Amino acid sequence: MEILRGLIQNLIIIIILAMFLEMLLPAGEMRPYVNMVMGLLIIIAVIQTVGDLVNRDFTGALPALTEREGQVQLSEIIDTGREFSSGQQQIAIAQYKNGLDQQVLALAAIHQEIPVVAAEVKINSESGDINFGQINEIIMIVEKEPARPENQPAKDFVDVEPVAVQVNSYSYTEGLERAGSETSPPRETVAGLINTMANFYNLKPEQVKCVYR
Amino acid sequence: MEVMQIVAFGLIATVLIVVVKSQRPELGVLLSVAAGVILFLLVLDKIGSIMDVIKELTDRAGISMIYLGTILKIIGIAYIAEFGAQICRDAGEGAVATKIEFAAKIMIMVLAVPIVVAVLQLLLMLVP
Repeated sequence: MEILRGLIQNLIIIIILAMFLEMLLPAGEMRPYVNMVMGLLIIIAVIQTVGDLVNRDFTGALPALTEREGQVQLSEIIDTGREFSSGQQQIAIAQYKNGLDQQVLALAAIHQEIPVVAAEVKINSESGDINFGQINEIIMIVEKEPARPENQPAKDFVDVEPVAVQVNSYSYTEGLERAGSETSPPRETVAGLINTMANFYNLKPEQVKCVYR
Repeated sequence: MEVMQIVAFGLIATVLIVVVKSQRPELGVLLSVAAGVILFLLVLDKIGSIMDVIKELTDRAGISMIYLGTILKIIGIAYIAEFGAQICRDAGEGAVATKIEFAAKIMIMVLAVPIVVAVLQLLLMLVP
């Protein structure tokens, strides 16, 4: 019933359009010629409409007389779908990356000696690539122990003035200063953390990096 | 009351042409052309609204704008040819008027060829 209604509506519009165009035709010798061409157009439009009703394409390979919604919009739908899919993939990758960042931070918190303050996981986000979604690299940002401000006593102990012990001609104060500036965690601990990360995510140890801030 | 203005303009132009034609026939033709062009310009902006209606109807009928463009071109050719041929006849050059109409018919047929081919193929497809 709905199809029949659409067919009748189309035919009514075509007839009104034909009458409207016929009124535009010039009076004189040209009128029959223009009338003939318009008649042909109306015939095609009507047969096309009937063809749509019975699901048959009467026009074949001819240039499309009527713009069928399904055919016209098919490429647009596919393009829109691709854009939508790409957008969703990027959103998914971003969420996956955020989740992995938090996961790495939580895993690094197991090693309490190493103060990991931030983590960045680099993921292959090129859609269509065979390694799409795989982890490329993990970068952990480790904060060195904050330097204690001068003239401010610590909670548990009181600063002691450096004592220079003069034995022969060697001054031990130079060694103390060097030891004081070295605040990064021990290398073995960092290597352990890197191994843990690499094993957990099935990566090579070279893919896990620690950056000191 | 634009129609009154147009009719008044047409009548004045006719009187002028008749008066001038008796003295200088060549100027009468020029006046006739000028009057025709001015009348066309007076209704030019109205044609735009008619085109809008036709385009809307075409959209609703689902007919491609390519075919509507062809039809409008054919109508335009017919009008221009009629205009020119009529002026030639007024100037007493019936032969030239016939040639103009002949050329216009050829142009219309050339533009109509794709539609004629479309109908031909359509009818052949309908034959079982």
